[in-house]
Amino acid sequence: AVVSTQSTGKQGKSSVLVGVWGPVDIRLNREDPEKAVVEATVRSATGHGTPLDKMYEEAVRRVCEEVILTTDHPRTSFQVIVQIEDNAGSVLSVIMNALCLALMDAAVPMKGMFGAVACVQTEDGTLQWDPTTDEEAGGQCSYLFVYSGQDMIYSHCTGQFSVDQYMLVLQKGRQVAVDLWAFFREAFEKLLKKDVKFQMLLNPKSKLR
Amino acid sequence: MAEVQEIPATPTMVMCGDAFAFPQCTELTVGPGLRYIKNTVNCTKPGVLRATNKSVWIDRNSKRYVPVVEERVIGIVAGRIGEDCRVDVGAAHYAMLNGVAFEGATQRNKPDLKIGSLVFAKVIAANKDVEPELSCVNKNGKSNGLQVLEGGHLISCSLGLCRKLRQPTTPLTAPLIAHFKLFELVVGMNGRVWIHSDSVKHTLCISMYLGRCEYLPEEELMPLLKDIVKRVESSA
Repeated sequence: AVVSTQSTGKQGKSSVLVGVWGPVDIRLNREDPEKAVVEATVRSATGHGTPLDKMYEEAVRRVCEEVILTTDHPRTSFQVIVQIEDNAGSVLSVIMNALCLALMDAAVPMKGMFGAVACVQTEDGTLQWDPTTDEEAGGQCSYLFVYSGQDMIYSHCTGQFSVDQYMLVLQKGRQVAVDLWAFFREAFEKLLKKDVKFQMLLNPKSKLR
Repeated sequence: MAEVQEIPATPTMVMCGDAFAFPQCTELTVGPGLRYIKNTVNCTKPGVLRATNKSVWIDRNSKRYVPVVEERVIGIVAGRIGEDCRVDVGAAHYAMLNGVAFEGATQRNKPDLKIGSLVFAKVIAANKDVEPELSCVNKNGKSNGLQVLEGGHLISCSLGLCRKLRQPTTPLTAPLIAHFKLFELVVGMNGRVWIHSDSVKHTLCISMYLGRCEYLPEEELMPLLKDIVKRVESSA
């Protein structure tokens, strides 16, 4: 891999490391003549791979294929490697947010930013956002939504809930996602301004403008 | 749908998905990092949106090279297929360089390109569906500096640093010019810089300097170089 980008997502204490490489070469039998292929690998902190890791890989792959402009780079691949360092709950949403930051850092062409919001609903109907492992176990149902722009592009919901409950959480989650994107913007601006050239470009008093 | 603003006249930071209205009745070149959909200009990469009268683009530093026509790149020869050479330019695919695409070369008299040799060439074809093609010669048969690079030392750096170094008025090379009497820098747009100087120590200093100078303000460049030179001299 020539270029690597890593971003660490920490929500509460769940921590994840995401590396993105691309566009890179791909084996002839796996290449797609019309678009780039996204290959995802997710490894948990300890132990061998489980079906849950495979599900995370599939989730990451689907979100990437939806958001990355794969038709700009046919016959290549984008490789995503996720290492779960610490799992203290809502790990998939941490992975998705770290993935968005990693793709932005690697300058991979995307249709838009995306953000994940996780929530657990207890028996009395209260919603707990970004649940810890205990909260996830105690809840009646759990929701994970990944939003991009105006749309919801990926969801993973477990347990029993009504359509109205689902639509309510979907609506509230979008507002949380908007706040998340404001945070991404701030974080990215800090990263940009480490470079003197961009500091000067963005400074309203600078002569370069 | 979110409101769509006009393209800002001053450089502004944008994120992926930000959309701007394409100005009416103008010819504007929509550059890297942007795509044109339904009369709006959409950002596909986060960065600084810059606009002039003729073009609009996103300024962004990155490391992975994607070949673009007319760019000069430094490639490493990776193999031969008949008359062509496969050259690694740091992109997803190998590029093809014809063995006769050099100034004054004919079938019987052409440069000997061994595996591992460095070539400074121009990208002449860079379609996304096909492997890129290189050439060391222009339409008139002149090379204009494109050639096989003998000796020297190759370093990798970010694409942003290469673009800065290629600007004629860059402050980054001023300390080098002031300090070293004899050196040569060839900057490829694909994140590679070839350094050639009269001694190994000088080459080492220059490569260490280039690795660290990218984000520093102008006044810290000369002290950086002096610090590196002192350390290299003292460790000999």
